[in-house]
Amino acid sequence: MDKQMAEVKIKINGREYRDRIPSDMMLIDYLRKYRLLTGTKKACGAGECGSCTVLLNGKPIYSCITLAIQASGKTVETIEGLSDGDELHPIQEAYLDAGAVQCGYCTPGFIMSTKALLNKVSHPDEKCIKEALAGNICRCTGYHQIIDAVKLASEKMDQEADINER
Amino acid sequence: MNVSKPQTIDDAVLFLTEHPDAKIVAGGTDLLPRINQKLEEHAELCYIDDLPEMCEVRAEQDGSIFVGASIRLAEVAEIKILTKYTGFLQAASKVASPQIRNQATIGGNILQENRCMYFNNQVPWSDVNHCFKWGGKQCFQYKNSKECVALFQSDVAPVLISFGAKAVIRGSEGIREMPVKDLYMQAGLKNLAHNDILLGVKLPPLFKTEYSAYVRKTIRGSFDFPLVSCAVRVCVDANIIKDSRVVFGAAGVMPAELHMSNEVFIGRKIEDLPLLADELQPAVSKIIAPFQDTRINAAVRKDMAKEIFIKAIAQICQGN
Repeated sequence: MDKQMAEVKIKINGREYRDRIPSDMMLIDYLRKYRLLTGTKKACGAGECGSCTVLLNGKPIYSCITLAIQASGKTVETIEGLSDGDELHPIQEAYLDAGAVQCGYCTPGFIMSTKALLNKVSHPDEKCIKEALAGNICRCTGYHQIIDAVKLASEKMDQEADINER
Repeated sequence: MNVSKPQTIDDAVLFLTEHPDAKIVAGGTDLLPRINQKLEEHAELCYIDDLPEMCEVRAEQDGSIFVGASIRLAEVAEIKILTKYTGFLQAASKVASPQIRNQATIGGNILQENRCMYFNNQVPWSDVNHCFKWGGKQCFQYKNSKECVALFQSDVAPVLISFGAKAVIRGSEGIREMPVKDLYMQAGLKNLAHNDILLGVKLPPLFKTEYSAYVRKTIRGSFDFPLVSCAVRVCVDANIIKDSRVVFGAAGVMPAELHMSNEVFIGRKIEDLPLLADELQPAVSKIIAPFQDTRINAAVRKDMAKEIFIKAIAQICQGN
């Protein structure tokens, strides 16, 4: 049977892309192979680890168990959309400052989950942070540093908002 | 693998009728991991995620509430008319992880495949020694079993059954309804034709005073399938119990209902509920299938069922 192709129109990190792709392509493969956005990492392929987390219409999802056609007509945010040129996003800075990055493979996923959380709740408590990050697994840091990073990121984003207001 | 996307529900039914091998996919969080892990192979998928009939929530004239099958589990908490269906909200909020809940649908949750460590955890010999799920003729769980006994793992279905919810199904001959309970058959099969599409579920109107709770036992605090789970619903009038329903999930190949609950509860005072629940403990133990997996053994699963039943009853009493 010939491979069926599908048209997708996806807004990724603020830019709209139209592509003709195999209909069974997963969103992560589309992002990495077609759009060369290799910041999003593929690991388990089964929705168990969270390293492939991206935001679909602002909500975190696993891109390894999402078909690219499921994202058609929607907006996708990946880790590449956070930094502004060489300048890191406050969440990325907070992860570095708090020592929440070791091997780094899970980090893009954690940061996207953090972004979704902080978009919704600007000052989350520890329980709230743990719940929001429950779908991401890290085998290096032991999670304490990651929770610290989310708290730090929330402060940093506050400071940034203050500066912008002035 | 080819994925087709019918534009209307009629097209979807027609497509499924013409393609007997096509498998339905919506949220994809149950099926796509199995395909990625090469546990399953499909030449064709029929993607039916955003059909308008399946995305709505509406109050019907008879007071019941229709919840579309494509509603995401995470969305359930945001729907105002569902706030009093406590057990339903609790169950939807406990499924897997935030990412899964943003993607997984109500329909997919209640129609998810049963799970077993010999299939989903892919033991090294599964390629040569096929079990029923692999298309073979043996079961590693119960050696003498004539069919698959994989465990039913939906969180939402036991609650829907406790509310007496109905499944609204669109087939080739139009729309029909059946109790959610009747969707499930032996060996993890579903009581649906290949070209039947679950449009949504209909929750009956609430009794004047009623309490519901869903409690589950898991190894991890979140992001886990239930070891065993319990949905309880109690209807009360002037402090006297008028109706009740107790349903256990992860209790065997399908949700298990504790039919004795009404014999013991009806006509008694709500304050007596914890005492009455104690009486029912041996009956709870009997309806839990002796299923063993990598997480716990059969005896522990039965003990846990009793424990969560008591916890659910305690929640109901607190709500009172």
